[in-house]
Amino acid sequence: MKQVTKIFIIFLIFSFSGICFGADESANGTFFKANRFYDDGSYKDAALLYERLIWHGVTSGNIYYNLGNAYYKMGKTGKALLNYERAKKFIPDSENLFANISFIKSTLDVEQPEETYSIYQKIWRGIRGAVSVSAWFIISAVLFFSICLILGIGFINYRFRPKSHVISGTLILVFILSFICFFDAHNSGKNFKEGIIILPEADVRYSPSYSGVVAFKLLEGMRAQIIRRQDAWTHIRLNKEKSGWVESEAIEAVW
Amino acid sequence: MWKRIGSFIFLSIYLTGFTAFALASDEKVSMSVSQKEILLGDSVVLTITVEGIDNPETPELPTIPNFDVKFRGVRQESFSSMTVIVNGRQIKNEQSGGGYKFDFELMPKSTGLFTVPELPILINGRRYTTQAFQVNVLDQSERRGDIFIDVHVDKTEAYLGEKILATFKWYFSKDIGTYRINIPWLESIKNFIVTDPELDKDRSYQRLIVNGDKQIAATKSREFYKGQEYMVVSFQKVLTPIAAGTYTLDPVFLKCDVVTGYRRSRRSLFGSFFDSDFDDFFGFGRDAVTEPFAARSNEIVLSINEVPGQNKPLEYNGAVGRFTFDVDVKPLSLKVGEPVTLTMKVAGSGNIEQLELPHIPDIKSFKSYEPESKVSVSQKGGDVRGEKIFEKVLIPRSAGDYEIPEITFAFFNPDTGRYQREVRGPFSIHVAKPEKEEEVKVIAITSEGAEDRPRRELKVLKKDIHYIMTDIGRIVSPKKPIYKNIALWILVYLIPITMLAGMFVFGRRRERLNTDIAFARSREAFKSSRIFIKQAESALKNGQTREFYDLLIKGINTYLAEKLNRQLGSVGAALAEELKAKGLKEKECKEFKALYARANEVIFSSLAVEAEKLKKDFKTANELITRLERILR
Repeated sequence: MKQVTKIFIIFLIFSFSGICFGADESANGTFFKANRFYDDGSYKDAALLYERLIWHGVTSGNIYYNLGNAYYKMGKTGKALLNYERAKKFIPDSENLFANISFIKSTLDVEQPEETYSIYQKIWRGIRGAVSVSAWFIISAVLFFSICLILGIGFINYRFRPKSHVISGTLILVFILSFICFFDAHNSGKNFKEGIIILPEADVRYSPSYSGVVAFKLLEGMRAQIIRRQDAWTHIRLNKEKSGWVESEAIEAVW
Repeated sequence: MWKRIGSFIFLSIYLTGFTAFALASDEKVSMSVSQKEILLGDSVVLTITVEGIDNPETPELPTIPNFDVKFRGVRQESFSSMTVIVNGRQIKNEQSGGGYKFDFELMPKSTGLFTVPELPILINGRRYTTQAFQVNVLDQSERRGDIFIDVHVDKTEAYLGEKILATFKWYFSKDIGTYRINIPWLESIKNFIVTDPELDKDRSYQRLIVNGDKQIAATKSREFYKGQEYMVVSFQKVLTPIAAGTYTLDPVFLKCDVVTGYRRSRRSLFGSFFDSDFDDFFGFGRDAVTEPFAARSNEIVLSINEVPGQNKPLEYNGAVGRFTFDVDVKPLSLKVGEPVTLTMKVAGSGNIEQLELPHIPDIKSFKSYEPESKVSVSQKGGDVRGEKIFEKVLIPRSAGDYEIPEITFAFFNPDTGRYQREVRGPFSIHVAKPEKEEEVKVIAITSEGAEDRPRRELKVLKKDIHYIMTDIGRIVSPKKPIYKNIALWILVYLIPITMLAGMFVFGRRRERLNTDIAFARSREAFKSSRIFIKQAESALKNGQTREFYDLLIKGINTYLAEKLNRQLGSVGAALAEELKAKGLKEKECKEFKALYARANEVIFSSLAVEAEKLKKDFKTANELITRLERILR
């Protein structure tokens, strides 16, 4: 019985490693094939293959970037911007990516309404948005460790104790600030997901129904915060003054 | 099967020299042939297109010498665009010709260059005639491989400065996976200036990576070569020799993975789900099976000659090619202080970029400024053409009638093997006095003498998105953010707290050891007693009974003195009652006392003790210390 179990485990390990190897090899092959479709002008086929890779869990900034390119060439600026935004997460320093985003935004007919903030809100958002939520978590953790370490050294070395109180006191304040940043950034991301309009035009209504009065129209490629989804409708907001409901298929969340 | 039909349709539509040969008001009959060069065993498709005739009868072709003819069917096509699929690839067609298309397959019987004569054909009772055409039938042995590289130059012999156009072509008829191309003469070659020809705005270019990381704009097209259809990737370079001699363009080296087939993807856990025709069509769910392949191109020897020294004009300054020369002087009438511009334009094919300012004699009474030049080169077919314009600004110092003397441009024409002199001018200029002295225009001159005119900004002509990424990049599995991991929260906050607690305890204890002598002695008691106990054990082994008991009692006394923070002399058997009060059992007390009594007897009266008794006392002493360690904690 033990022998059979052993053989079964070995078989499982080998099968799994085979799948992993095959996946990596085939992912590259599919990517190059998609690139060839793109080169040949078959953008739809290229997009299909890039989407297929992502569907299989093979994600990279370059795949999202190329997918954005393919959608742009197909005339789908919304989908293009959506995938560029996704690519940002992986290749935040890519000059080509930002050039493409900037170029496509410059081709949009309507100006994106921006949220108006007070000077304090701007400063707070600037600090909070300086790094990602995960980075705030790491900063908080490192600060907490440092506080404990410095206090601990103070416990052991009585000469260092007065200094340790000053340093750890300062660090505690920074830690509290970083933890609030983490908490706030996490909550704002949880409450509002960013979405992009992917249809040429989307009616924003006052209620989640076709009988609802159309408040304004959004055009493809415009950004909006997704508050919640209800059946086939999505509650969105652009800023304090502009919010409403759009058909869910008109907007796609970046993440 | 589908591949063959696809290829058949493709051949009949694309590789043609359309030749209209009959026109009658709305009726139009035309013919086309699929290719002019084939291998023996392959066939040519002759397509006769009939427009403007409803339900035309199938034309009857007469016997064609050297060819077997077979009718392959008729297709009716509209004028809308159509899509043809060949070998699983989708190829978009432009507006296809409408009407009825009759396909005839012409199979050659032998090799050679055959002329298919004008053929009389009859359609619905009307007579039409095809145009004659030639078909070159090659032997199968002339077939090249599936992949090869060809490099050729438009001339192997040139004069110094004369441009040579090198064309790189990569032919392949199979899918290629990864590739590596090494072109030794890509960027520089000794005694040559290597430049890129101007790109054709109407063509689409693709990025070809060569020499590791160099990107080249290359075209991609389908081509027939020796009767076989290839996908061809090509680009060109312009080589301008700057020194005479014989030079060799080293062969281009290619290494690539050739797709020899496909196998089902092992990656997909959902293989059966995607096992549809759609997936097979695009190759989804399949992995390419590749084989490595290497190829080397031909070597090219270039012979560069000096321009002849005989009859060389004085004005000659290195121009080699076929040029025209024009001079324009504007304005011819002006006032003192106003500029006159001398524009000299050299156009044609040759070493345009390297051309120097044509010879201009000294022009007195004019302030002369450094000339500016701009060059533009374009490539039409294999010919590199362009123009270079020199602009020289002159400002008259005083009023009067002046003459700008003849301006001469001399160049060497490689076609004739002779020098040519092009002379323009002279030009008469009238310079009038300024109406008011103060109105004389002053042009700022920099210290170098160049006119201080504003430079133009670099303008972007047209905007588009940047090209796709060629590598897949770092593959990242989608995962939860780290802060959503509860275990990490516990780890990140619990470890420092535990560490802090540990350091606190350690610090307090250290502090007590430094300040509380009783505590410090108590902590060291066991350790101190062990030194004597170990020495006692050695004495026991050596049979030194007296020393044994002496050390044993010292060990116990040291322990008690340290533990109870007393003087060493104040501890001994008398402490038995005190220890009993602290928890030592009656039996243990007796043993304690007995041990001290025996020790005194041995030490002071040299009493002989049995070995068994000694071992028992050693054991008892150890047990007593261990027991006291527990009681006096």
